[in-house]
Amino acid sequence: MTAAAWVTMAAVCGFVWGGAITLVAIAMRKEGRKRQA
Amino acid sequence: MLLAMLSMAVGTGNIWRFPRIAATQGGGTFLLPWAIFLVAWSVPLLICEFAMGKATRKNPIGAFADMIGPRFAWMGAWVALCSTLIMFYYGVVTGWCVRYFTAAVTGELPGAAPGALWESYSGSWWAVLTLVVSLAAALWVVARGVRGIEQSVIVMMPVLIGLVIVLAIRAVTLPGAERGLAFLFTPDLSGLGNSRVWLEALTQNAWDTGAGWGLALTYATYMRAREDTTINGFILGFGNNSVSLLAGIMVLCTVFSIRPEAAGEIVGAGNTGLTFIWVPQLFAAIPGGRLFMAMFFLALFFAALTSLISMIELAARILIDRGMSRGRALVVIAGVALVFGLPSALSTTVLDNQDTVWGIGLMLSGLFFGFAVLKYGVDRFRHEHVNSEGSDFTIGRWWSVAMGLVVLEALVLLVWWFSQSLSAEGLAASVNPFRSFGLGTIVVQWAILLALCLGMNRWLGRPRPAVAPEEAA
Repeated sequence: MTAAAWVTMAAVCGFVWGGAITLVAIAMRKEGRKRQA
Repeated sequence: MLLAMLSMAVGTGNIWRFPRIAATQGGGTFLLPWAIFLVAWSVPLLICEFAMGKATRKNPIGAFADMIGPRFAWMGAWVALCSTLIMFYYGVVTGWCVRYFTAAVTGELPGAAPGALWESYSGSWWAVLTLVVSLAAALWVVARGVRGIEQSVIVMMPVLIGLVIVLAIRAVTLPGAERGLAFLFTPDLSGLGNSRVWLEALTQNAWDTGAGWGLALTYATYMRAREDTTINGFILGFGNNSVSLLAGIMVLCTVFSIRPEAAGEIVGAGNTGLTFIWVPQLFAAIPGGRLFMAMFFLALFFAALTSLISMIELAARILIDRGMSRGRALVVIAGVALVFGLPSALSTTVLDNQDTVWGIGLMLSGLFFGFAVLKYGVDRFRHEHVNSEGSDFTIGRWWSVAMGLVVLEALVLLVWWFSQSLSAEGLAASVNPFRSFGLGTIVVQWAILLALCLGMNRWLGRPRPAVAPEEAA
């Protein structure tokens, strides 16, 4: 794999998967707080 | 409810369509506009759909009429009918998944020659039978109401995601899998000047996430008031595209690992060739291949079925809002879906034609949602319906800008694509409505649907009370 392919893979996967995991974590934290309240 | 919405979005578009489109549109070159349109098309539209559904508690026709006036009910009808027309052939594809899963389990696959099963099955009355089976399964779930849908996706979605992850891990650990990764992620910036790449990236996003289909709007009518619109829109978009990326890695790593010399032919094998002809051959060549093949087609079946359920729910919701009982609505839908699904079941050319016409038609659906928000007042819509009671996140002005961009993107891409198609095909070929994949067939079918929607506008726009969710369920 070329350096350009590695960079694209890191950028696209990081953006899409990283985004999804972060969003689910935020949503679960918010939901937990709502339930506690 | 979020799981039900994710099940609506994650469909064959992720597993069947994404790897093929990504491969044929230049791999890494395609992924850049695909990632851009996730935030410039899918997420803003999903937030818009959630907000409209939650605010009006009506199907797309009623929601458009409530939001911007009964004169524009036809726009909601376009959105709903475009998704319903997709549902007709989507049932056929779901049926294919049933057939291939059973063939993988019984050992009928991969067969003696590549495509032997496909040749004898596709376009035959067996395809009609599996259409009936898939419709019956989806109708049975929808008949049990929104609770039935939730109960079914609680089982199917985790299994589906688990299967895709296991298959992707297996694919990247195959010898030579890095060739597939290189193919998928190597960018060619000169390819970004091709309108087709951008158009496919947009339609793939629309296909992938279900943004602009009216399906998220329909499910949002059942949302609790305290449920957040913004975070749900983001999770749906990013979660769905995460599955697509996994599926792309899974399929392309397998192709380039097992048959690197024929990879070009395999990924270019058209709408059905990659999944239904080559995937069985590829899985057969790896240790434990029958198990992985069965897992692949089970994942594909679950993905297709959960999306088919949401499309049937959309059609049912329209009839329910018109005063029909759920049971009667489903009987009507079963009959209509069978009649209109029949041509696609008996001819893959018809199915491919419908896939092209209404897949690109989703761009108009997105355009109509964008128009509705602009007409209502984009900042007013954001304050009243997005940042409403129960919101955990206050969405900023960027969303207003993004909704304006949705309209601009759809218009620019449509004009760009029309002009490129005209210059590539020539005027005579372009205006021929009988060519399966030309501009002519698309424009004529769109014109018929638009005329139908506009002709029924007065009747569609008549105010009707919203049906309470428990009554609808």
